[in-house]
Amino acid sequence: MRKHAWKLSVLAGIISFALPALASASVLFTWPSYSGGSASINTDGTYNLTGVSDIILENDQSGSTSGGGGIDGTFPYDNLNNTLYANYGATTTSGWVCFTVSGAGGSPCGTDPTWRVYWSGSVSGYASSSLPGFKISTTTIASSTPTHTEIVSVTPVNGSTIATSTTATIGAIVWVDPNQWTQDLSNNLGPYTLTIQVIPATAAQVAAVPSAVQSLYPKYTFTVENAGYSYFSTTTDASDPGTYQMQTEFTKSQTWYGQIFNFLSFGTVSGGNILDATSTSFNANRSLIGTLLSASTTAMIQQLFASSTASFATLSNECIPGLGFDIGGCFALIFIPDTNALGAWLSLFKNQFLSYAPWGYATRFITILTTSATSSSPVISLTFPVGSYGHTTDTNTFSINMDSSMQAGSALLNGVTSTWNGNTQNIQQILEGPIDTIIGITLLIYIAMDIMGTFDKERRRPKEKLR
Amino acid sequence: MIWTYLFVFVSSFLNGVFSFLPTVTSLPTIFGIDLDAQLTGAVGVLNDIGTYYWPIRDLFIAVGFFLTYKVLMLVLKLFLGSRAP
Repeated sequence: MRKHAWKLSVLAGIISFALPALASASVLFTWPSYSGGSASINTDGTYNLTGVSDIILENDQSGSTSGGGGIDGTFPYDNLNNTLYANYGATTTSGWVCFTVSGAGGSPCGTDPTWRVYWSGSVSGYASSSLPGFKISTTTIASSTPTHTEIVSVTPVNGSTIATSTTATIGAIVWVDPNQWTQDLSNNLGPYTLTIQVIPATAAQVAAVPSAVQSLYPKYTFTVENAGYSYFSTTTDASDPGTYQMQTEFTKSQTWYGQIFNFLSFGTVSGGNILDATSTSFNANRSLIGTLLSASTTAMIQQLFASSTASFATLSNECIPGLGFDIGGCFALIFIPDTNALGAWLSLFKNQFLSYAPWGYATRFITILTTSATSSSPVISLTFPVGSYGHTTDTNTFSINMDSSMQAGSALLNGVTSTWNGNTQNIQQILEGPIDTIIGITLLIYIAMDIMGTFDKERRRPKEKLR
Repeated sequence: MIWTYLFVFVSSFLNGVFSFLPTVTSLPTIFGIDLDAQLTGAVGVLNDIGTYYWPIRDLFIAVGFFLTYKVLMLVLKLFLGSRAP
């Protein structure tokens, strides 16, 4: 049993690590106490609503979310933010919320004896009560109902950080004023349309995204077909770490003259169909291991190598359950080398092992070659006799200061400028990039050929005649 | 951490095994010519020229990079023999 103790510790750590995450994606359904007798509650309690997009209220027990003469009220549920968006009135019974749902049959706050709460989305289920009403934990309900048609919220929320994913969830909650909805439908301006587009900030500034850039990224379109709250979500690619701009636009159909203006490319003139628009941003970060793999350095690991005492404490916190256990951090600490530590080790390796004779001479040779210290160029002097050969002792000396000459030559060379596209650049600014590229590519090709043995006659494979 | 311990182990092992060898701190003097001082001065002059003429500087950096590669390959060949790439 003792030899398996560490496995149990790891398992306990995983459970303690995972449980809070599960709890954060659940909502509490409870039913009001009934003074007339014992409660008959089928499934009461806390439900995990991960994947749920809608919550449906109905006052019959038909097992269906529609029909049966009951009341069908659909309310969007934002499971990422653990928030239910619903039109509800005052709390009419001690501690429980009275929902206002349209349709016939009464209200949950009334005396109708049976109610069901359905949820739908990628998972579905229901809870029912034979009591006259129910309540949902008020912490999961939007605090107020909007007063005009608008985008209530977007997912991810502005400025938040999510993990990089090819299926990152994006979405929006909108609320439509019932009066405006009715009026626009009668004028053929409905249904409304919600569009969401996510663009990496590396492709454009967050403040303004050129239309040419916009067209490169998919635009998700949803149709709003009812007044009140609607919740839409989908997945998009946010696999690259960095900042993403999310543009959400809520529009209604254009009028006939707006469509004509749009056809004539006067889109800005016909922009009156926009109900609401938001421009938010969110950050996508790699998981801990991913971040470490890319940067290969964190304060945590630097601390680990900086102090043995702190290292042990950090390691304890990361790898021992009950002290901030983090399986990702623990594995990262164990397996991923730190850049600074690796550099320090390489330096030590070079200064010790590579400095031993005889290979130490080659190392010293390279060390000298790669130093960046400069020495003054020598002054070249030439002394020669003046006058006829053999009849004079006078001499004259010419001195060439190479430093001064090269400095002057460099100034002359860089003084030649050219203007292109409004930018004035000298020869170095124009040619350094291409020349460096040529040098770099030549060097890489040469090294590749050397590794492949192209210059080694013994290793060169004999040519075979084509048959 | 495992990798670091592995690196430290390998380097400590090699440092210990070859510690009987002398440590080279400078190039030798041959026929009265101090190769270390001469090479240091020559490289310093080349670096000086490179500050004025950037193509020479870039070529010099490329040559230094290539020579470093050659030394590493020589060390590999010394230890791996014919198995070296």
